[in-house]
Formats: sequence, C-alpha cells, structure tokens
Amino acid sequence: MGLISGLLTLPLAPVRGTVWLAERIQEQAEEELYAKSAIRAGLLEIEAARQAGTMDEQELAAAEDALIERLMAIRGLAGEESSGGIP
Amino acid sequence: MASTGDASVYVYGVLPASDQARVSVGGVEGAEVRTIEHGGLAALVSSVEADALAAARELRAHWRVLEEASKATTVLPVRFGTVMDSDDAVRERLLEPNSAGLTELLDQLAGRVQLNLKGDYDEERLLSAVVREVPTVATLRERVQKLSDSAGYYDRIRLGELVAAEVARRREEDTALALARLEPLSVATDVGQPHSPDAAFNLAFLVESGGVDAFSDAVGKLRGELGERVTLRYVGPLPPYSFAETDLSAGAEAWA
Amino acid sequence: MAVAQGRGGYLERPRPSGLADVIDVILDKGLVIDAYVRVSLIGIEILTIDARIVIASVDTYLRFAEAVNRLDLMQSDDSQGLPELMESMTEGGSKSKSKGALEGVKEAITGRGDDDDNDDDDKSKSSSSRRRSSSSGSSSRSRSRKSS
Repeated sequence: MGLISGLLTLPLAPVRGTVWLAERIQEQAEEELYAKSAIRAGLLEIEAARQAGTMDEQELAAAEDALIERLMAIRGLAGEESSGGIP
Repeated sequence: MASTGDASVYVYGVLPASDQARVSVGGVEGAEVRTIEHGGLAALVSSVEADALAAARELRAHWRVLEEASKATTVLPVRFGTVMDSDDAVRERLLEPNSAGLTELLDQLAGRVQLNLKGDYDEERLLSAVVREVPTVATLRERVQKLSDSAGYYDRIRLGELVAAEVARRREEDTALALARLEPLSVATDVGQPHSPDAAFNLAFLVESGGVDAFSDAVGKLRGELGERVTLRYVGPLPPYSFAETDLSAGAEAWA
Repeated sequence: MAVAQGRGGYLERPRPSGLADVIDVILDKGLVIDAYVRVSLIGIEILTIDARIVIASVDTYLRFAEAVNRLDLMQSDDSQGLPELMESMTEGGSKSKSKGALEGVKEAITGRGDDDDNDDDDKSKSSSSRRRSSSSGSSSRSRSRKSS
C-alpha cells in the first residue's frame, strides 16, 4: 500500500538501490508502529472507561470498532482474500 | 449437533473432543458456537451466512469465544478470520489430514497457559539516562542546542542516530534481562516485535498452570529490578495464541 | 516454599486480558489453516502514507534529537553532577515536549484521514498482501521450546 504508492509519487526519485529501499521499508515500519501504538493506547483508554462505567457501552463499542478497523487497515488486512487451495 | 449442510463455517480453535467446551456467548454474527468432531479432535465453529463479515465486531466475538472456551480446557486458537466451506470441509480438510499433528500440538499445550509481558520505557527517563551516561551524546546535544535549526541539521541527525542506537542497545539489554529472569520458569518463549516506539520488550511465555504463581513472583521481582525505567504490563492467562503458530497450508512439512 | 514478592510486599498477579492486550496476537498468531479468509471491512477509509515518506528518511532521528534537546534533565535526574544540566530548561514546557513525539503522531493519525488524497486506494489493494508478508517476515522473533 503506502510503500509502493509512495515510491511512485516521489518526484524525480531515482532508483537508488536496495539500501535506499530497505530504508524506506524501515520508515514505513516505523510509521506503522507509531500508528499502531496510538491505536493501542486508544483501546486501553476505552477499556478503562468501560471499567469505570463512565460511558455508554454502545458508544465505547463504536469507538472500539473504529480503532480496530483502522488497525486492520494499517496492517493491510482490509479486504484481503487469501484463497486456500481447498474449496 | 445440528448439521447445517452447505453453510460456511467460521473456525475459532481446536480442542480435544473429550474436553467438550460449552460456549454460551454468541460467536461471529451472533451465531451459536458448536463443535465438529473427528478422530478425537473437535473444531470450535459457528455457521456463517454473509459473504463478508464486519471485522471489528467479529474480532471481538472471536476473542470472547476463545476466552470462554479456554476456561474449560486448552484450546488451540485459530487465526482470526478463518472460514471454511462447510462442516464436511472442516472434517475432511482440517481435522482428518492433520490429526496427528494437531493431537501432538494439543498435548504440548495441555495444562499450560500463555502469559504476556510488555515493557515500556518512560521516554523522558530513558533519554535523560542516555544523555547522562553517554558523553558523546551529551556533547553533541550541547553543540546542537547552540546552533540554529538549519546550521545544526546534520548534527541533529547525528545526535538522533546516536540516541536511537543507544535506545536499541538498552532495549536488547532489558529484553535479555527479562528473559534471563523468566525463561527458566516457562515452557516456551516468544519474543515479539516492539508494540510501541517506547517499547522495551514484548514477550509471551507458555507456562504450566501450576507454575503461574511462581512465574508471577518472578515478574514482581523483575518489576523491582527494572524500577521506574520500565513500566510493565503483565497480562493473562490467555489461550496459547503465540504457541499455536503452525502453518497448515504448508502441508505435511509444517509438522516436521 | 518461599515466595518472593515485589518491594513492599505487593503481590504480583497477571491481569485479565483486554482487547488491547490481545489484538496483536489474535491478528498475527494462531493456527493458520489453508482456507478462505473472508473478513472484509465495512465503511472504512484506507489509510495511506503519502509522499512525505521521502522526508521521513530522517524523521525518526529528528524526533529523537528533538526529544533529547527538550529534556528537562533537572527534573528527571537523580544524580546531580554536570553543570550542563542547568542549561536544559527550555521554553514551552519540556515535560510535555519529550512526550511530543507520540502525541504528535496521535494527532497525525486522526488528521491524516482528512488530509490524504485517496488516489492510492487502488494501488493499496494490490500491495496489501505484500505488506502483510513483509511485516511478518521482518519480525525478529525467536522462540525456544524446551521439552519438559
């Protein structure tokens, strides 16, 4: 997702070889880590609110759903179909 | 156990047929959770109607089903989102061909639980310690602070590199420390990827049920040893997600 | 049997897992079966990481440098010593700044959805499976199994 499209949108970016690519992959991993970490923090907050009973459960579940779906999108799990050989 | 003919089947996990786990909580799509048996093994499943599932809601269902089933017995968790074509497919494609391997895996997991330990650095303390203890960092930091943003650009990068390397080194040290303290009290260990940018370590342990208290005491001691540098989050018992990771799509080689 | 406890007699016990604790293992681990995976998302916009990736090459290092620069070493330092520490009082409240790296990203995440252009959505699908395998492939994972 982000890596390939990111590379394609770079203006005048020459192909600099495997080290450069490895660095870009590393950055992508780091960006994902920050994003995942923020989502995890959000989920923990929701849990705390749930245990404190401060918020309506439906609202909490909706917020939780949004975070989970965002997490899955980051992981590239969204819409993924890996077909097995077994019908 | 009602056979549902050709409906698709969502698979949660595998357990010994003799340890029937009663799951009262609804599964995916709120469907009733049941088992499909074959050769001493049972797959924990529910029927699926729709072509696509709402990921977040079903993730929660998946989790809750496994949590409840695990109260009764050791369940081998299956990867989230696994759907097979029918009850027969579960019997003929999952349980039958992998009978020996699954039985062995269940034997290895029987009477054991997963415990997770995540450590997180207090960023401020960590960085303060790095500046205090690494002279080159302290010196470079001084220089950078005196320069403008543009003049100091490359120095800042260099500073950041040094700090990043130091953090990585400490992360390795602290991971090794945690493993040294806890690995001896566990059956198996899984070292995970950092869960956050401030992560010190992300560890999963397979521990005998009877050994959880002793393991927990060791975690308490480790907490004291790490002090305020690292915040620990100690969670469990969990179904053995991290120790069920055999890839059945590889066929027979997976059991080598 | 002598039971070792933490400082002050605090009894360490694992806490029950919440979704936040297990979501990673649920998604990453568990038995993989050769079967159709049919979980798809409803109503979600795919996050894209745009061309800023070219600047991000030093972004992490700059984050560290910034965090280190803005440290209020007096506050978190127990051992007095270096006179250099005196000069580390910065303007804007150093305590929150050193956590700024993470806070800033939180904003970036909620803000990103508005900013990014979705031109990349089509490309995102074709390479999503690649990213999945590369992220699982690059995991530094070691495991020891002991036969008991």
